[in-house]
Amino acid sequence: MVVAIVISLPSGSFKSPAEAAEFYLDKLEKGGAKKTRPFQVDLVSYTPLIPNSKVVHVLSHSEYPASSFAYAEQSNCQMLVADNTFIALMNKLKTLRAFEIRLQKMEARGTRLEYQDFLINLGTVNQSQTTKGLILEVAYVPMDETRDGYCLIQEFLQSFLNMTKQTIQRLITDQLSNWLRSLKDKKDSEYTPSITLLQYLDILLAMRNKPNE
Amino acid sequence: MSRPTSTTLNKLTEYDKLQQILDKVRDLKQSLANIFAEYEHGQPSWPTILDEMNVLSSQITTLRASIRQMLPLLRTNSIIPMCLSPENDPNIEQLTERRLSIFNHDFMPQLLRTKNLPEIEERERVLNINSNMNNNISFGRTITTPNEIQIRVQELNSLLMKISELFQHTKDMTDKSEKLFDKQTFTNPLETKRLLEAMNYGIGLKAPDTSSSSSSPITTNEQTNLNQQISTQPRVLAPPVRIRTLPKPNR
Amino acid sequence: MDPAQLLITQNRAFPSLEYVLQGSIQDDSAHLLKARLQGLCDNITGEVEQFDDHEIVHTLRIPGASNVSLRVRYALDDMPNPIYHLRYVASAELDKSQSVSVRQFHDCCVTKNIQSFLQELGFMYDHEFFAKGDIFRKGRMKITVAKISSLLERNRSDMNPMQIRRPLTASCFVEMSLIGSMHDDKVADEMKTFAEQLKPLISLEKIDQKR
Repeated sequence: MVVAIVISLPSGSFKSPAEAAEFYLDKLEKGGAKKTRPFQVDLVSYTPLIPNSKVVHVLSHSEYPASSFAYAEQSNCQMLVADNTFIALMNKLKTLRAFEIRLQKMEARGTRLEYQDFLINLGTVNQSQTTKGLILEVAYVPMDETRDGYCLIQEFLQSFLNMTKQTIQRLITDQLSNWLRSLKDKKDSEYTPSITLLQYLDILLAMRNKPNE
Repeated sequence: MSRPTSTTLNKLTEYDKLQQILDKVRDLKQSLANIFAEYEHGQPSWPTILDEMNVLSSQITTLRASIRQMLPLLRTNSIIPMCLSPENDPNIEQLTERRLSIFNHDFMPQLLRTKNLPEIEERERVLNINSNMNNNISFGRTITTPNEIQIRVQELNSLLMKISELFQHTKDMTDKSEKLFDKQTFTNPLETKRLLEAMNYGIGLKAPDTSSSSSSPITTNEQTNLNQQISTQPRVLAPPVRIRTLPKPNR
Repeated sequence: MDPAQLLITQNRAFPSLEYVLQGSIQDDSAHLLKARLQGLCDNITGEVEQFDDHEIVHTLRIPGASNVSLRVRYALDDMPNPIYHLRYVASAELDKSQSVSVRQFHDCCVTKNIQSFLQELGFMYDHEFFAKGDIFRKGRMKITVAKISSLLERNRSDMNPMQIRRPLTASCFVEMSLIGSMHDDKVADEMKTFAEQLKPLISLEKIDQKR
């Protein structure tokens, strides 16, 4: 039960993303958040070797250690949630020459902080030794009602990191805005962790395509 | 055997209860023995018989009452055989007062699954009765006159005939049942093959869209495969095929 | 390795091996086999564990190589929200020296959208069947006695458990399997000795490789 927002923090004003990470970490800690343990999010992409197939992205999140999340690009189906042995299955398909790993693996590594009911994951995104950017995930744990959770998290970001509402709206991913828009029609807007991972996917893919700084 | 001391004065241990029942049984036996002792001195008078019957009936009633109390306990406990052996066991002999000297499979058949089938027990019983009937001859007789020898030889011959008939009969019966057992099959190799193929390779499970499922899967395997290929083609997003016609070279 | 990485990479399992023996028994003698198995196997509560599964097989045709099949299996008892298992079973390895069949095997729990996911990846629906029967366990071994049925009419939706089923044959499918790692030599003997005890009723054999 969680509602989370994942954004990529702008680090242009700092000398390096590592410094930016330090700065934000400091700010959060001064605000009262406590460091708990490291966190990590992995993305492995499998490109198909056969026609009619799609690229498969497999993500894993240290907050959900027993699951893997898989997504087929350009398909309109949702994210598949599987056991963490799923990646071994994909590797098996790789051995059988159905897929191969052409694109490099992306990782987001950093620290996990806790502030009362909020869970904050702050980390740097790496693609094989080069740092691509900064990523921040803020989750409000007790509920899974999207609209209210989103507003709460917005307030949190505004107070802790001095972000304006417009900045936040600019920074949230397409996925999340699509999801929020689709909620206008639905009565129950239950949030699932796969949406968090979809946001991660969006950001990591964008960062992969971005040239190195 | 020494009685273990009970922890509370009021509660009787199960062991004590069993001892009580044993005592009652002993008393019952004693009074039965008394009755038979009375008969040895000639027909006893009617009042004595009545008295003794009274004693017996009261003893039996108390025994029944105490067992009824014990019944739930007895039902939850099982009797465990101590040691089955085909040899004489002096302890058992002593305990049962020489009624049972060998604690072996005959005595404890049910628990140890060495009891024969009822049919076989029946056959054994019939055989035993027959053999007892035929065994009126005592084999310890001395042979004196030639007549007796003749009679003896005849008797032995007839015995032998009977025994060989019995053997033949039993042989036929057991042969028949063995043959039946051999003929009894539990697997059908054809169906085994079908199942294995279906589970491992999917053969026989790929029914075509148009249900012509009355045909048996084995003989029309190729047919069903072909049907499936044909039916799945329109669903596959095949790349568009452009056919270019080249002009034929004129000769 | 920091704890987060440890958490993530902890269960990235290598494919394990499945040791398999298969056979079948006619329906009318199935009760004899079940009685015998009930006596021989671990039997804690006295009741036999039953299962009723629906398995759908999807195949991917790889050009230049053989086809890959993935099986999606779920229990019909769990409706309306069953847990879907995604299984990959390789074909059995050819090994004349072993007395049991060995094959690589992989199992993963997934969510309901696995079928559309596989479609997106290019896997096509191949066939499906139902398996209903009992499971017996003895130590590490698992023996299933199941009646395999196919559908009377093919129906792609997976929310319709009351379809009419047609049994495939008049026999039940019996499979003995054990999951182990590469270096378990005694496993084959263990399985073979147990199979011997079922000998007069059924004979469990390796998977035939002729096809």
